[in-house]
Amino acid sequence: MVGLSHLFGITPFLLLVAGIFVGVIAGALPGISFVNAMALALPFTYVMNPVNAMVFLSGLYCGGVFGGSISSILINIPGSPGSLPATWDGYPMTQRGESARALGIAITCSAIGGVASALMMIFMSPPFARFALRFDQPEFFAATVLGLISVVAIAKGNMMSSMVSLFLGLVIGSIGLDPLYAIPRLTFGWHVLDNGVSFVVVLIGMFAIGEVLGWISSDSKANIRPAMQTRARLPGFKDLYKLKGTIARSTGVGCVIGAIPGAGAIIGAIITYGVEKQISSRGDEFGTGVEEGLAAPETAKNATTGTATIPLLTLGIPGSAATAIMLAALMLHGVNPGPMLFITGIDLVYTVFAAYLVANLLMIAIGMLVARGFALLMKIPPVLLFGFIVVLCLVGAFGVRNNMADVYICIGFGILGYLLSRFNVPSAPLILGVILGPLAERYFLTSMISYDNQISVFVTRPLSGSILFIAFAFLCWSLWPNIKQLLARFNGRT
Amino acid sequence: MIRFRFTGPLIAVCAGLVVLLSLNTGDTRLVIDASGFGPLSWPRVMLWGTVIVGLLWGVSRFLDRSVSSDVQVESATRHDNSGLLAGVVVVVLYGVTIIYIGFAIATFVFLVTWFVIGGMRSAWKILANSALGTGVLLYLFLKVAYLPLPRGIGIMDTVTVSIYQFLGIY
Repeated sequence: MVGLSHLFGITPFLLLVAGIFVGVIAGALPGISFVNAMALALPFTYVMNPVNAMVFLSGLYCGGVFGGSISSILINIPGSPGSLPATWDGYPMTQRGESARALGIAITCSAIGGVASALMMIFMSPPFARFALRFDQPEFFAATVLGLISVVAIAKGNMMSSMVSLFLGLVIGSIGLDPLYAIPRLTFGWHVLDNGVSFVVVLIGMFAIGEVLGWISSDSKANIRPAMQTRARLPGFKDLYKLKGTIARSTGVGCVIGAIPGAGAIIGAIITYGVEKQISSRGDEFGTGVEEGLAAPETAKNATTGTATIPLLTLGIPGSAATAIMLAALMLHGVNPGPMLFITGIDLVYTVFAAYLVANLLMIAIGMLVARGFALLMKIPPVLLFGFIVVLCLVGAFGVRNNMADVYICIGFGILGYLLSRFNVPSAPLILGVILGPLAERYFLTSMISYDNQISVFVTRPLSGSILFIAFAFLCWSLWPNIKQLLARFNGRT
Repeated sequence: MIRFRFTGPLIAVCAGLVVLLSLNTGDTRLVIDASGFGPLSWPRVMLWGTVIVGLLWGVSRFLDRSVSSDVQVESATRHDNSGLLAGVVVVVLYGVTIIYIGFAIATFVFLVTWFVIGGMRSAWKILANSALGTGVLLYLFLKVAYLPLPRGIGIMDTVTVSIYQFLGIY
């Protein structure tokens, strides 16, 4: 109640609304990303008191995590990496003329996941913080492997091409200076590649430029885009009740993954998509515009927000780029997060709790407004829209590091993305490889250094061993239908 | 269309092997340390992974006697390859020329060309949309986002600055 009373003052409430607006819009624009928006917003928090600064950034964070799904669902271009799974079932719904329903499900499920995560943060901070504290490098590596394994689960009937795509992504992710010795690899003498290939550039290129090339190469250019409904239609109670299992599971998985430093929305969304594909009775239809396939990653994505903030508030450890910016904002105001914050700055803590709770509820209204604006934008003729998308994407790629090389890389990945889609090789595993590959390599090498180069450390440590066992079980579970099919074919021949 | 059947696996295996071979550069800095894990260990494992999975993909294609799904997709969808080629050339040229002729002029020329190959026929509409769009984007990126967009080389830098001055953003 203390937190709510602070939050409902005019200034904090307006700042929260402004934060959500900025977050949803930045999240929805490919190449901008809410993390960039948070970084840009940081200087503006100088003029605010610490409570207002955190309220503003909390709104931006919650809104931004959801915002990426708007462009994923409407134009098949994820605004942020965590929104990648929303393209798999959200965009097919749009193609069927159900964009309003898809947006409604995404907004509602994101809000439910976010509220549940905020409640977890309020009531479960100490045990979650203890859980997060037990994670060391081998556990981070195991969690990343679990994320990579989920690619097998999300492969839609083309397992081998998905695996090739994943390994290609892992190779691309290892381009640049190695994390320990700072020696360039796979750069072929191109110093612009020393800093590696940014996954944001790959994401923009493969999805946006690839989509544009797909349009220009189509025979019937005028009719390729589906009819767009401009209003998001919230699902009724009956619809939500049908998704109760999906929402409950995804909230649980999302909250746990959120608490793991470094895991974040992308791993949470992908793992829940894979889990739901296996559990759901409509698992075989995933990827064709199934409600469960959209609801699961959307719920999990925002379910990571509250629990990701727990290590920041309780231990002073930021678990993601977004929470690192929040840490910077706190430190700029002379506030040191950690156990003492719950004694010396309890008002701030309660207000942050309240901000997360209210932000996820307000997000429904604001998300619908922004989605409507975005959908109206989609009504302009495709030739105009795609022309400007190319310009925006190349500027977005340039803006990542103010480097023209990223523009060329973006175009290259655009052509690759088009070719992959034309020959039915999934591009999502490649992007996951580019995102998770460098993390996996870094965690693997630092584990080796920390534990005397004993590779057995990954299985002898109880937590990392358990996660790897879950990953293995998940792999077997995902492969079981293929194995069954092979056995049936073999039995049929003999 | 059967010729597409082994193209994917073949590209994966060949690309993996070529890059693997290029890693053996003889650079002494790349030797593995006492732990057995050097700077090249991770990419090497991933490249071997690509080759092995590519081979398995090829084997599965060989064992699957039915026409594979990608062949079906490739053969079922009609593509305007000349349109695609024009689109790729225009986008690549746009990316390459930004640095030489500056963002402002490159964007205007790109938009005009794109609208023409995209099927827009009214010259007035093409010019108006390109000029207005470029102006709005310039204002947004330079005045609001402060992005240091390329202004071009030599005389093009002067021309770009004149455009910025005309638009009141310099």
